[in-house]
Amino acid sequence: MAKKILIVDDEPHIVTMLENRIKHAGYEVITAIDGQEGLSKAQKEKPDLIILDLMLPKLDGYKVCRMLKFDGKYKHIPIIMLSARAQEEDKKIGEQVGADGYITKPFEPQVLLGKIKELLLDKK
Amino acid sequence: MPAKVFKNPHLLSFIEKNHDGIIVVNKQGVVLFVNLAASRLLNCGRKEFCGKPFGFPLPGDKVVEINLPGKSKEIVIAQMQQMSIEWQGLRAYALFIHDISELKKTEMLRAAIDERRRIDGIKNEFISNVSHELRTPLTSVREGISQILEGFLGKTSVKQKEFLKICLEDIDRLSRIIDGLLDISRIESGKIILKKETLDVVELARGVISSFSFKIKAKGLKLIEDFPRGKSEIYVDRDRIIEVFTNLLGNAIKFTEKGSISVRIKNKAKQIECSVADTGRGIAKKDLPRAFIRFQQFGRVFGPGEKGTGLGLSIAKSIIELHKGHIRVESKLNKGTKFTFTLFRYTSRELFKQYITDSVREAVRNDEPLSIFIFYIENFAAVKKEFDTKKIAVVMDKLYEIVGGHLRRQADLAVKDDQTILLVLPVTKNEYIDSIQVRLSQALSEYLAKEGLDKIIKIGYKTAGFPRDGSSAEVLFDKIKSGIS
Repeated sequence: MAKKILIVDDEPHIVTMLENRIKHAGYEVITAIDGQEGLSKAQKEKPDLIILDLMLPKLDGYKVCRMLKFDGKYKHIPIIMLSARAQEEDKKIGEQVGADGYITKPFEPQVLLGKIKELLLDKK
Repeated sequence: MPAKVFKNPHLLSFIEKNHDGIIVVNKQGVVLFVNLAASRLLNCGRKEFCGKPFGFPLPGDKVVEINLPGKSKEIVIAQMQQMSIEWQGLRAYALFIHDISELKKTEMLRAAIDERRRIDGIKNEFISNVSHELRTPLTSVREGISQILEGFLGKTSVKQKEFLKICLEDIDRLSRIIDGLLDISRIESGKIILKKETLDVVELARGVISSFSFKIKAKGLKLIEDFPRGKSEIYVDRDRIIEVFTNLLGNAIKFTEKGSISVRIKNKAKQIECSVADTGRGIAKKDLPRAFIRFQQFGRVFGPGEKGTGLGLSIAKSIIELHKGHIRVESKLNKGTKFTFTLFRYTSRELFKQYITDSVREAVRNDEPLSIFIFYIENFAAVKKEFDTKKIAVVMDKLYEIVGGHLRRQADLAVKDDQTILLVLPVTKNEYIDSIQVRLSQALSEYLAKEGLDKIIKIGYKTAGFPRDGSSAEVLFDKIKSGIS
């Protein structure tokens, strides 16, 4: 069965692009356009991995990440932060809230797919 | 004459020598008396002035500011106040003139600095926001184009592919420009904190060169390396200096079609000098002064290859200056270009101090304690008579190994010179300082005893803790500095 990946990003264009890219790589994709929707979809649908933007309306990416990572039921789901903020401090906060990867926009498709593969393998 | 007016000589000298100007005018505004300071402030002889109209409106009850001609060309800004008095039986006014030019100058300077800081802040914030905002649409454009190129949306012709590849290249270039701008704005706003470590610059340069060796070979260029023997240690931010070498070497290769690329490192008394030279197209004399200014690109290369951002040299300059070094360029059109930068070599004492300063800053920033230890050969002069330098170095290496065995965390640090070992343990609580010192001293003397050196080599120690002994690097360094040569 295909692994399920949740994409949380408030930019519809980026969601479209990511969705197509990831479907092409053979994964099932679900999407959310703000932090709150992202959190509830993560809890309801139990994806195998989450790609999470940082600057999100309603609930920012850091908070979503922290809430999932500090909850025993969801903390096993790998989270890749995908953000246009490229500064060291941002990556550091990402680590602190428990993100498993941090990739900056614009991203190299191979880097993103490689990270997804690596994290899904790790989990097994 | 003023002397006649004041019967009391003390009063006269008191008024004459007053630093503030004092002038007396009658009700009609005619000057009756001028003291020395006032004649200086007005740049006018006293005899010429007495009996003439004062020329400035009287201030009344207010304190007013007036501009005076002053002695040199500079205008004197002064405060003037008036007081009603009796002068030789008639009503008159005493005017007190206080020079505030210096005060004004400092005030204006401070306001200008504040204003510049404010504008710099807005500018940097703006650049940082813009960079972020630009990256988002760039992401979907880049993804869209690469997905079409990869054939996700159907077949593309050879010509279409070629054009899409050009688009992709330029998107990546735009993205590098954005990164560069962000880099510059962070360096200029002082937001960057250098993560300094002691490293061998030759080794670092070799690493960068090897990442370019393919490109150098592919262009058929000769590589000339001229490095000193042994280590050339500097205390710098590794990634940042790699960036400088990368920028300079990348430029050299890009602008050179035939000939050679030379990388030289020279050890000088107080600094290390690194240069990257090429036999390429060079920069015209008129363009040289603008070489380090951003977005100044000379002699752009046509044809394939990564296009420049126009920011590389500007970033290199900022990085070197952040390290308190210098960078300069020499060039001749069609002959070649040579970039030279120098980095400061610290004496071990300066280096120890630098380490402590950096660690204290880090501790204050993270609100964590810091423990500092110094172990040193107390009777170094005597030991030197007994052993040669080599033998001492061997012993020091062993002692250093013992102290280094105490490193636990990644930020823990041990450095040494020929007679002193500095151990810095961030996060380690100050109450453990004494027990750590005792344990290490014991281990060191056990080793010396085992080697039969304990009669010859005496080990001393000093400790300091933040916040226990102080909260500034100065104070903490003072506490241990007697252990450093």
